[in-house]
Amino acid sequence: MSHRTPMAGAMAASLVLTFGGVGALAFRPAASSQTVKVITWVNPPAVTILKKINAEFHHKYPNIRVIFQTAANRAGPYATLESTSIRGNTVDIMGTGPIQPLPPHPSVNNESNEQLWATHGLYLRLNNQPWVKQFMPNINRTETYQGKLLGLVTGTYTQGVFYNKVMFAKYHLSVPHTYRAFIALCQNLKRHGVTPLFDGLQNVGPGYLGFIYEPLMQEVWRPHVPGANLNRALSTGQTTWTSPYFIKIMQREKTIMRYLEPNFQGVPWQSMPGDFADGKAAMLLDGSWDLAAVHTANPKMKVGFFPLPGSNQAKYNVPMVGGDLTWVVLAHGPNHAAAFKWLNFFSSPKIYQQYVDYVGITPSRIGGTYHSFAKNVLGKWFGKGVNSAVVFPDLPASGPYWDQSSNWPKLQLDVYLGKYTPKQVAHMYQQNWPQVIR
Amino acid sequence: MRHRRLNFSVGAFVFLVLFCAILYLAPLIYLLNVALESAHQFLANPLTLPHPIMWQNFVNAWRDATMGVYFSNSVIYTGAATILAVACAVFLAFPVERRYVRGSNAVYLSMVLGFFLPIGIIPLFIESQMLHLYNNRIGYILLHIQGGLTLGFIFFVAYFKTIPRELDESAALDGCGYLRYLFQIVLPLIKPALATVGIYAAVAVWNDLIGPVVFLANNSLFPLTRGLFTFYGSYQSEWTLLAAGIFIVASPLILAFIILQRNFIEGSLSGSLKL
Amino acid sequence: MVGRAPEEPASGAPAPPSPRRGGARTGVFQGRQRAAMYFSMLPGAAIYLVLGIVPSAATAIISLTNYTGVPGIPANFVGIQNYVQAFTIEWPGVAHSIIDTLMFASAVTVVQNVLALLVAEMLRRRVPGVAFFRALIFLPAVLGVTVIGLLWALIFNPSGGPAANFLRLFHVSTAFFGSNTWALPLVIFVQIWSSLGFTVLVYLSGMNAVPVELFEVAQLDGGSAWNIFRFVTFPMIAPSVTVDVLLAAVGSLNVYDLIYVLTDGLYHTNTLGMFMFNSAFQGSGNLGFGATLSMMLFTITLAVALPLQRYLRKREARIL
Repeated sequence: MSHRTPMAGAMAASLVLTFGGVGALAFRPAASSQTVKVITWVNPPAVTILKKINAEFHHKYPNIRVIFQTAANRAGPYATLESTSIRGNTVDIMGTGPIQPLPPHPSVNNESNEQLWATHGLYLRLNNQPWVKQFMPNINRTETYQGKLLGLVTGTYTQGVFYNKVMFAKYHLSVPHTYRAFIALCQNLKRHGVTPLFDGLQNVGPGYLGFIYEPLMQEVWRPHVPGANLNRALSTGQTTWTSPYFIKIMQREKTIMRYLEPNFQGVPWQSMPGDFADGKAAMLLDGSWDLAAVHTANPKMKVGFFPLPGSNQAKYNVPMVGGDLTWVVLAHGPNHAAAFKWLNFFSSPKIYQQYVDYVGITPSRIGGTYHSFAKNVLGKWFGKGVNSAVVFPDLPASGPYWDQSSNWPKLQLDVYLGKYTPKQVAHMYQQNWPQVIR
Repeated sequence: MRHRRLNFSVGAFVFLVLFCAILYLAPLIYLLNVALESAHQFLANPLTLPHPIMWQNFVNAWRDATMGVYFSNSVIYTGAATILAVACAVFLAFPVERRYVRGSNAVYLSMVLGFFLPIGIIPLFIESQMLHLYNNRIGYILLHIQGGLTLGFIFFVAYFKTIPRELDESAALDGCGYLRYLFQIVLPLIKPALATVGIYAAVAVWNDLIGPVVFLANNSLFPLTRGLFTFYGSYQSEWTLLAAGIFIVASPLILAFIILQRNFIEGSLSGSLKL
Repeated sequence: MVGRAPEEPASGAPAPPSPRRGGARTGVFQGRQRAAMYFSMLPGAAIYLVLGIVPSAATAIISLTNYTGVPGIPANFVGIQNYVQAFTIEWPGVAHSIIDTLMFASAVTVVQNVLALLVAEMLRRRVPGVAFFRALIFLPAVLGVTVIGLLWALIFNPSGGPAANFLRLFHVSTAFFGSNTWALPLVIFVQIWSSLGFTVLVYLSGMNAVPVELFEVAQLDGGSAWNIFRFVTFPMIAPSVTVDVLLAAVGSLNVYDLIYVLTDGLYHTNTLGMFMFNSAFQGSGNLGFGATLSMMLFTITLAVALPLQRYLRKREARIL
């Protein structure tokens, strides 16, 4: 009684195919080549040059293939990629930021994710790697915990205001050195129908307001705390979020935000360099990492730089610098040997120079000559400024809600929108802060 | 007279034309329009007809987003997970409906109660790592069987009721083996249910975005949804390329929908009523 | 689950397995055939147990730990500490999240059902192209959250998108999905857009099951369209109302994938599901706290769905 129907036949056939097919995919004989997996967040110039470097690495080590994976942006999907990678065992080299300074009493409750992973043995110790001595000891220290060097800090970024020199000349404007002069400049531009400032928050969120509140904290608040170290003063309770300086900062931030492009909340952060290069605004609030993208979008553009002047005392108005992309080797990664090889390759003089020249950061490697667009733009400020480590504390990933790194900036936007006053916000930050720094 | 509906209504027709045109057709047409525009035109004048027509956008999107890899992954995941889900559901539902096995009631009850339980994504993530289902194709497929399995089970139980038990008995008397009976006699009788459950499960697997975010780490294993989302992350401001990418991902779904429309609509309808 | 349909005779809703009929032997298939039967059940049973039941139940247990899943970071049983945190130091976020969740779910449930009733009522009329309209409205259900999310992100692109151009006619400009005011209403809109077709279909099938004579009699009596809808159609489709309202309520309470694509929970769209996902896989990475949020969402879902279901069932019984 064989009345097999086509349907049943198809079912059975596809079942076999499926099992067989899937099996074949999963159990194909291991190729003799190895892989090394590198992940980082999307910063278009860095991604471009890293792809090139990876190809050159593969050329030198034909038996090692680089799996390069990115996610955008650092606040959102990349945080998820990091978080799942650190728990899995699929990634060899992960891009992060430097971990120092740690809170005075590091604990699960007050460390950022990256600090937590570093202090719990998830990053391999790199002290004995051949490249270590070629990198500046003071920069290596920002990635060292209990004597263990845990990563390669690729360089230092500079943060401030990039301006369109042609526009400034057209309206006879000069670089402002005080807060008052800066606001007057913005008003002047606005009168001419020009959008003064550009900063996009879409897909990245209010964290990108850091281009305003971080310099303000550095210039208005930091000089007045013990040791001129705001980070430590906040982390030890020597100063509080309710400080009158911080109230003033939020008021000034609100004023500055009035000169941003319309609907800045809906402008994708990735289009900032392109929009600035298109002349959509006279000034761009950004970090030096985006300069390469500005240059790519409009190679003829003449760009200048000045630190965002938050204080009316010009001497305090200097740029903020900070440790940029930092490579760590994950302890649970599958291929430590290949990871070490990759880092060694990355830090070799020629490759490293390519990287620095392309992305425009200040190098962390000793010696060498570099020529980047950013170096020309930053001029005397190239690599000079106050380190972010003495300004803004690394906020924890858990604990009191408003003090968490992902929630803190939301209230800065709420001040601008008039939902809360600066005083209310200061209180919301401070309320459970003692629990964070305990 | 019995089957006459209400009289033709001009008002209803106008309402439906406007409603569908503005909310459903226009967005899709705009998507296609942007996908065919040059980047320059999109910045200057996105609402005009594409001139020149940039077919190249589709080529570039396919290449830049490495959609070929994602596409074959999607096909493998969807095909395998759907077939396995349907097969498992049939194998479970038949003996349970017939009460050929001990504890049939308990199995049935637990399946129905399963709908009540909280989102299990966190425990599933933990389990996927413990059981080595994390970041590999077999694991991803196994993790995507459960949804179709539960739906299929409840669906098939209802369908098997329509097959007389005497058929089982005569088959057994004729010496027909259990599996042969199931495949050759029972399955052909429930073809509509198989199609419904299969389509339902396939659409869910194909469209899943959270699954690949949580359970897959390597680009080379991503399905289309995750690939498109990654592409969006890297090309946020290049809408002409992105629109082409969205269109590439959407078109097989639209095509399948046009072909299998009846099954989709009837399937989801009976699906909802059976839940 | 909660969306279990009324026992409509037409839809052949499932009942528990048929009781043992007299004379039928439990074991039609014996010996090796019986073994084959058991054997064939194994894969499905194992998958359902391990990847269905266990994870669902485990959420409750994980919520009592501070497990991060990160090797090297100790995991402890912490009792109700995560719940205490949710109501103390995390409360500003949890409170916002509960408000966002309830606003999202209630708006979706109400608007989606009212709109679906309107569309179904129109489709019920003798209109050319009914099948086309029906298919078009249903189409989003197969497109999936990624395509839908990116499609609407394109439409609501603040610089030069069609929505922005339209609003400019009224001298209005906004950041859409980046706006504290507009993000939530827009996410609600997209959610309704994507699931409207489904809701319409259920109403339509309910309406088509109403005997045509009822409408004819009502029309002969000179009832206005509104009165016919109010006194004939709407009461007669009570079972469909139950299904649609429950599915919309339960579904929208638990949505987060669409929000993940559109706003990632920023700008007052941080529903509990989204908050749970980001706590576990983005922020602190504390799977324990994520599971706690999951349990809170589950509790709210039950607290909403069970009384709603009871009410809707009673309403059906009263009407029919």
